[in-house]
Amino acid sequence: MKKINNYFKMIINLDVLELIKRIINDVFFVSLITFFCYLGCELMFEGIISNYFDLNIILIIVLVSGFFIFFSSPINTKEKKRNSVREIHLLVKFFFAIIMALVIYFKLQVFSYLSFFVAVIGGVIIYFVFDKKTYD
Amino acid sequence: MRNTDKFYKVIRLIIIAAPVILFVFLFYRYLIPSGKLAVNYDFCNESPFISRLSPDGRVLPIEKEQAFCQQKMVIDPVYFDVRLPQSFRQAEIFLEYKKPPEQSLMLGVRNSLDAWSWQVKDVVGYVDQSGRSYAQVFFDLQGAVLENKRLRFIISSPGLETKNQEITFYSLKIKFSKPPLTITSAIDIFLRKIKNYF
Repeated sequence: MKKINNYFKMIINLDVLELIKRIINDVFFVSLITFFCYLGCELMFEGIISNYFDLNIILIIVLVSGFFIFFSSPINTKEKKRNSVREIHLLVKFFFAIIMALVIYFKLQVFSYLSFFVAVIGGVIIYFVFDKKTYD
Repeated sequence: MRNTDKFYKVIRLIIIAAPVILFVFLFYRYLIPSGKLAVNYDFCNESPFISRLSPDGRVLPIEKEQAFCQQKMVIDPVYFDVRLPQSFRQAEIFLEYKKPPEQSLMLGVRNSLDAWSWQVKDVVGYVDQSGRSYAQVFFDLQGAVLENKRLRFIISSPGLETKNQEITFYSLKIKFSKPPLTITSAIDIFLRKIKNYF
């Protein structure tokens, strides 16, 4: 019994949890950027992505990883950002949240009212998740 | 350096590299270097290339059976579009359908955007024991026009509604072909696309 307990302690230690958080954090930002890049390519050259790949897969990854970051504790940080940087950061995350909410709304339009709620939730998640990216 | 840091760096590299590799793969598929593109539509799943038969009303809703899906055409004519990344020289269409023996069936591709001009061919297929027909039709696409990268096809069966008949479609497969891509033709296509976009 003691051995099993040690084994779990070894696996679920603070470093591993921190590592998982960082990985999910990276997954979120990489998938968010990938989504917008792919969407841009698709708009310019119709079919380049959608012929062989479903862009909604990336959208789901963004939402799931964003959901996880939203409800997890922030990653350790060393110092607070200066006010001017924070203002720019605020604008950037607001911009991303609006864009993401619009994209989700237009992609899920078939679901009628549900698409509006999912878009709002998606936008809120994106807005608050940007605050969580605080590791040095 | 701790083991977790090393592991994190490797994972991070994979996370960043994955979308890049995927994009390179998709771009390669988009260029179609072999010059051959096969697309199919079985009526069960949506195809990114082939649209549904339209307009609604001339075709009945898709019926999903256990092993296959089917759609019935009740009024003549119906259309479908094929979204193509590039233009092709030839199209070879394989059609699986069931129709009354006396009813004719024709398949055509649009030749002009301004006029009612179609390159139409009779569909004559092999009929199996269950009454299903399998036909193969060739089209020369040199004169065919693309609208918004879409090639429009027509399926016609004159007198279908007056005779109160129906034609059931089970699957549609199209093989497009053109000369294989070379470096110069790839650059030419890329420049043309950029020019068209702007």
